[in-house]
Order: sequence, then structure tokens, then C-alpha cells
Amino acid sequence: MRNLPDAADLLKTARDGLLNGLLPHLPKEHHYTALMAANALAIALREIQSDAGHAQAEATLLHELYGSAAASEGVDAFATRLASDLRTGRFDARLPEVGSLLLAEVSARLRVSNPKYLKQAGLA
Amino acid sequence: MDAKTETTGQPDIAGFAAAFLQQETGAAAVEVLGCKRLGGGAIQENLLIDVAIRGGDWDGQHELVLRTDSPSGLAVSLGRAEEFAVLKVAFAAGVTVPEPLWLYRDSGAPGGLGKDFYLMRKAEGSAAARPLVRGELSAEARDALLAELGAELARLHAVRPPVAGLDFLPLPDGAPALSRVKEYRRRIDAIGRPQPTLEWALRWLELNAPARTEVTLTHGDFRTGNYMVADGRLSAVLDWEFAGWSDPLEDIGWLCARCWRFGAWEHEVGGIGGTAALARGYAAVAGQPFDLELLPYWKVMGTMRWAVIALMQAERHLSGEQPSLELALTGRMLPEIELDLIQEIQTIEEERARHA
Repeated sequence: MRNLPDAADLLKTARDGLLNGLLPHLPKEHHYTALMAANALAIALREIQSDAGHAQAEATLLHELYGSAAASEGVDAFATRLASDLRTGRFDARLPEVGSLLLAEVSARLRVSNPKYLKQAGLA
Repeated sequence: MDAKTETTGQPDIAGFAAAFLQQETGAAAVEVLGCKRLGGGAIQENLLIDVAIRGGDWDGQHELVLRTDSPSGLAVSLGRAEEFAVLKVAFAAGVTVPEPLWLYRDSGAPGGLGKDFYLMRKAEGSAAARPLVRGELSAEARDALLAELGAELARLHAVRPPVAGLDFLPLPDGAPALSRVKEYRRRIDAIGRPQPTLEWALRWLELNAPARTEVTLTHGDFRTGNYMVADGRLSAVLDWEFAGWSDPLEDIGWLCARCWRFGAWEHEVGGIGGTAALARGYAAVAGQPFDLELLPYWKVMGTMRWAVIALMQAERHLSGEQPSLELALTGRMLPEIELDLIQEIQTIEEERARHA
């Protein structure tokens, strides 16, 4: 059995209440905090609604750089290894290619945290 | 430093400053007529103090700004006594800064304030970034402001080590760019979470570091929001707590980095306008323009710096040291900065390939 309304509905409704019900009555010096709170709710909403886009982008990055064997390492261990390999120069000959792969992974995270920015950067 | 109307709730600081001023100026009496907090950083606190001085060399009414550490001060930047010393050097070099007047050094003895502060003359105008970048100024006014910014930087960058009184500022070990790469890696390691995109950019910055080792006095945080403008003219360069010896292009790269355009992406220099007017103002004072070819590299370095600052700010929230919505959201800005880094580096590489 599901809890209804679900988390996405609650976040969206809370955000609408904040922006439409509360904000117009707040003194101006509190608008910034209210807008930040609305932004936090929007990010959380996009995060729980997000598809497997980010996991997919990370998996692709992993596979391209380390092959199928590295897939079993897990994302966190992989990030640590990639960070260290980049610092020690292991990917020096492939930096532009690694940059493009990282861009796909970063873009997937931006779709959650700030999709407008992606559009502004010409990548949406 | 935009004036807020609230009072400070700290009459003791103003009163203490009045007694200090009386002693420093040889006045018969110093009366505090008003005191309010000015918007500052998270690290410093700026108070506008209106005083009436009777007798002595400073007889009359004065609007002064008192700068001290805020209660949640962080030990990552210069202390107030050091900042005062830098400000004096910048003032003497002809940089438009609020004139530094008196430094109070706390000896730790009973009856002291418990922290250092200094007093400077109040500068007119506003440092608010958004009205500046949102088109309040005409194209001509923008170019004139950019030329002024260039001239200020050139005057500052004419100061070279060694300078008496600034021996507390460390000199970079070798090329300033490489010294920064080391510093940023150290800061990422201290936080202890892997950052592949930042490591990718740092490696690129290391492999492409300019070999030059020329250093000058640099402001360290020269950007829109840290200078004041009154009637379209630059009235004061503020916030000197990150000053140091570095490659002068680091200041220019920071000013031109994408993160300081406040949404006005088309205006490369701090959201105000293009590099041509900035370079013209710089050359008018320095006798030669800055190296425009190296600027893209230093813009990447500026973006890198912002990434490291964002990481450190987010960590203050994540660690529980200072739970804060603003700091939390700064952490979620990291992908924006990472995107900037990748795109800026890719653009440089594409440009290079085209000319190869």
C-alpha cells in the first residue's frame, strides 16, 4: 500500500503554499530566505522525480574509462579512483575525452539541481 | 556595503571606539551620534559610526567605518591588523580605497575589546552588484567604469615585493599558478570527498600553467560586489582580506570568471562589459596592457577557486558546524561551477586546435 499523497505531491504543494500563500505576506527582508527554501524544495522534488539519467551517466563514464570489470567497484570507490588517477596523470593522453564524459555526468546532476543553467550554457 | 537600517545591538563597540579615538586624536571628547551595521561578509563585520570629535586634530563630525571580526569569524584570511597594513600600502600606491585611519590592536589585557579593529573613512556609493549589471548604466558609462577598474588594478599591480610592513604575506613558491593548484588540492583533500571533475580541471591547470614567476601585490577578491560605485564612478575598492603576492592576472581572471557576472553572461568583465575597456584603463596606468592571451587560463583558475570555496562552504553545513540553507544550496551549485570549468577548458582547447 502506498502513502498518498506521495513525497513529490507534498513537496510541490508545500512549495506552492510557500510561494503563493506565504511569500506575499512576508516582509521584504525575509523574501530571500523564502525563495531559497522554495528552491530547495524544487531541487528535492526534481531529485525524487529524476529518472536513471545520472546513474546512467556515471555508469557510462565508468565503463568508458575502466571497462566492464570496474563496474563492480561501486560508484564511490570509482569516484575516488578516478580522482586519484586524474591527479597522478594516468589520463593525461585522454584529457579532452575524459572532459566530455565528465560533462555528461555533470549535466545529469544539473538537470536536478538547476536545469535552467544547463539551458543557459547551451546544453539543454 | 549596503546600509541596513538595523542597529548593531553592540553599543559597547562604538563606545569603546569613541574612547580609543579620543586617545588617538588627542580630543577633549568624542561622542557617538549613530552606529549601524553595514552588510559585510560572513567573516568581517563593518559598522558605520558617526562621531562628533571635540578638540584635537580631528575636531568636527566624521563618518567612519569600523571593521572587525564577526562572531563567526574564520581563520582563512588576513587578520584585521594585516588587512590594515595592506590597505595602507594600497592607499599609498594610489588605489581608490577607503582611507585607513587608525588600527586598534588588542593586547589581551583586561579592559580591552578582545579583538582587533580598524577605522577608515566612509566611502560613498554602493557595492550592490545587481543594479550595476542589470543595465542601470549606459554603454559609455560601463566602458568608463571598466577603464577605472583597469586603472585601479594597474596601480595595485605596480606594487612589488619586498614592501616594508607586508612581510607577513608569503611569496609563492615558484610559479603562482602551480602554487594555487597545490593549495586547491590540499583544500579538496582536507574535505575528503573525491571530486573527479575538479581533479580533471586541476590537472589541466597544472599541465598548462604559465611558466612566469613575476608576482605583484594582488587584491585576491577583486570582483563586482567588492567595489563601490557612486554616480557611475568607482568610489572604493573594498574587502582586502585575501590580498597577497601572486600573478597579477589572477585578479583579472577572477574579475572575468563566469561566476561573477551575476547572470549577465555576455559581459565578460564582472557582468559590466568587455575586456577591451578594462585593458585600455590598465594600459593607461601600467604603460602596457595585461597579457590577453593568458587571461583564459586565469579565468579557469578563478572558476576553480570558486569551486573550492563552494565546497568549503557546503562542508560547513554538511559537517554540522554551521547548518544553513544558504550554505546547503551553495553545495548544490557545484555542478554549475563544474560545467563552467569544463566548458572554459574545452573552449581554450578548441581555440588552440584551430590555430595549430
